[in-house]
Amino acid sequence: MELVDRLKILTAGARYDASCVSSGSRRKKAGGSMGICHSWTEDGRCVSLLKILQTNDCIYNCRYCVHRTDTDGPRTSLSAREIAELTVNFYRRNYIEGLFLSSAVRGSPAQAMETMLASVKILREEYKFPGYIHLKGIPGVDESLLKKAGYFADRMSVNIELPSAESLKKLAPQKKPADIFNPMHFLEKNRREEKGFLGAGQSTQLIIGASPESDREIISLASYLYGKFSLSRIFYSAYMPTGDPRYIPGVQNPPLLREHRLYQADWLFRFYHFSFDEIIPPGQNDLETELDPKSAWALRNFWFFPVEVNQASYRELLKIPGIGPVSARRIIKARKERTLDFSHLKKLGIIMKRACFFVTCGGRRIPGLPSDPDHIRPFLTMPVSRPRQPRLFAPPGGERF
Amino acid sequence: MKELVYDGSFPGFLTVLGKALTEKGEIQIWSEDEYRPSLFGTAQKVKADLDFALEFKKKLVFDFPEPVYRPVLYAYLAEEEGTGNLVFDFLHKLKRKEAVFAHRVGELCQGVTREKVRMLGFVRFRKVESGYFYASIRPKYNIIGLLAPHFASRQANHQWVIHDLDREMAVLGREKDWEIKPLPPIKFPEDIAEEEIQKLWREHFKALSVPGRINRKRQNNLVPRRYWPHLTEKG
Repeated sequence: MELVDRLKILTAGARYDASCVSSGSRRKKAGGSMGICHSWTEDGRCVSLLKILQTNDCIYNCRYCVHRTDTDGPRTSLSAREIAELTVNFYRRNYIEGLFLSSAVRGSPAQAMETMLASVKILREEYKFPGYIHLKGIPGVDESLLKKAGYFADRMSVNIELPSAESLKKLAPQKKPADIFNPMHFLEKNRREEKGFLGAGQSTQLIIGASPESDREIISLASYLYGKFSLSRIFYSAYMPTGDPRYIPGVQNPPLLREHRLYQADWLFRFYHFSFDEIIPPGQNDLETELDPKSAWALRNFWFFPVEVNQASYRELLKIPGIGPVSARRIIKARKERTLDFSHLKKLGIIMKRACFFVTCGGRRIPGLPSDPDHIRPFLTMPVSRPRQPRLFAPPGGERF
Repeated sequence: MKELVYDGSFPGFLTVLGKALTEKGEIQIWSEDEYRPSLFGTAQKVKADLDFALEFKKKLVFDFPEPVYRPVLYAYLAEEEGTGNLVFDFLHKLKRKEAVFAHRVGELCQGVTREKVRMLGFVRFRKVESGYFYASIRPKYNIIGLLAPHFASRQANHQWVIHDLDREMAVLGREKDWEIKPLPPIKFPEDIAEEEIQKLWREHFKALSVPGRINRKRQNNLVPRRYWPHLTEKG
């Protein structure tokens, strides 16, 4: 098969991995450690790495996966040299910041990992490639291979994919939880002990909607993972109906809104100092879909408000819907210069359509706004259907949403 | 009212600002291109003074409540009409400890920073026949000088050119060094291998997006249309 055709197939195979980050590396290289987005695809996701599989030829039959043994798409692979050359050629032209290399399991986990290592070895040693490398850790590989990988790569990720042992058993019967958690544990241990090992840490991915876990279970797993393995990121990926419908029935549309809410919760956890119980209160199983988790918290804990922006601490400011870390810092800086009023808040980039219900400026609220949670709620929820201009000619097959 | 006119260069800009801050009374600052003689003003030409400008640059870093060299430089690069007066107002207020948040200079600085950061990703090099890597761009602001240090270290092992087609200026980079030179818009013939690599990139880019998640609105927000003609995957 021509290179371009193999590239297409192996790209399409890698695209379900949501990771796109190229930042946080501690590698001493030209250009610093910031992430740069080079483009955005039609699905609105950032492109910063050549995201590709070494091969899509797999011995496993995970029910959720496009590459499971009982699908009959074309199987192909790229050689280590082809991967290295593609990366270098794309990097020089400023298409990418580096390589994201994943692989299906051809032969055995060790064999798959070794081929990937050969690719990055050529890159780093022969081409002296200074860019970013994200390597997928294959569940169940030997520690010696992981150790090697950690020297070549800036970041590694072992994907958990299914958020509970039970689902893993049902949908990926050939993988055991230990195959996934042992490598994560090993990588974290080495990273702590040795500077320069896996400079940008490790991440993982959870598939949302292929198995029955609630948001509560997923967020609880996430907070455990952030704590235990100091993960840099957890990616949530709405399940696309690419799996075996006999095992994963009833998924018509990918749960994109749920994925979005989980990311919002993840951000609250990492950047807004929210605790697990604040994000999802005891007794509640799923995040609200019609309201972002921060606004939901604010309405549940309305006693906390209004917050006086001229006096509140950084952490208190962060609790206000419509104010994030950047605007909270701006407020703190600006209020040294003068007492802030509502027009200032707007200029400082605060999202007033949300924040207005929760703040006072110099002891005053904006007059005329509702002041109890039940009446505020409708102002914060997303419009269920946006007004649309009616079409003169209906498209064949009716209106699609 | 006093009107100070500078030559349009950055040293000239710093010189005129430095002088203006020591003057009393109402002052307006214009570049030669902007200046329209007014009925009642007295125009005075201020010659660019490199030593004075460097001294003033130090002052911008150390003598203000916060370092303001970057906002001043970025506002200058935004090339907006009346930048001189804006920046003067900004510095004047800072000196008198007045509030400057949400000042137009801050907004300009933000806009220039945003385009610079975007451009670090959007520059697309093509290998041309003479062996170096060439990229053409049409940025809104005059940012090639801000891009240069990044690419000088990133592309250190080969020669490269970033060409601002509208301003007819280019950064030429070679072995960690770079310089800015005038360059009229000309077409450079591409290296023979170039077409194949560009095709690989386009196909990779297309295959990356997940069919069930298409979201063109988001894509258009993140990659504004005006950048498309210079993006290999879009052009």
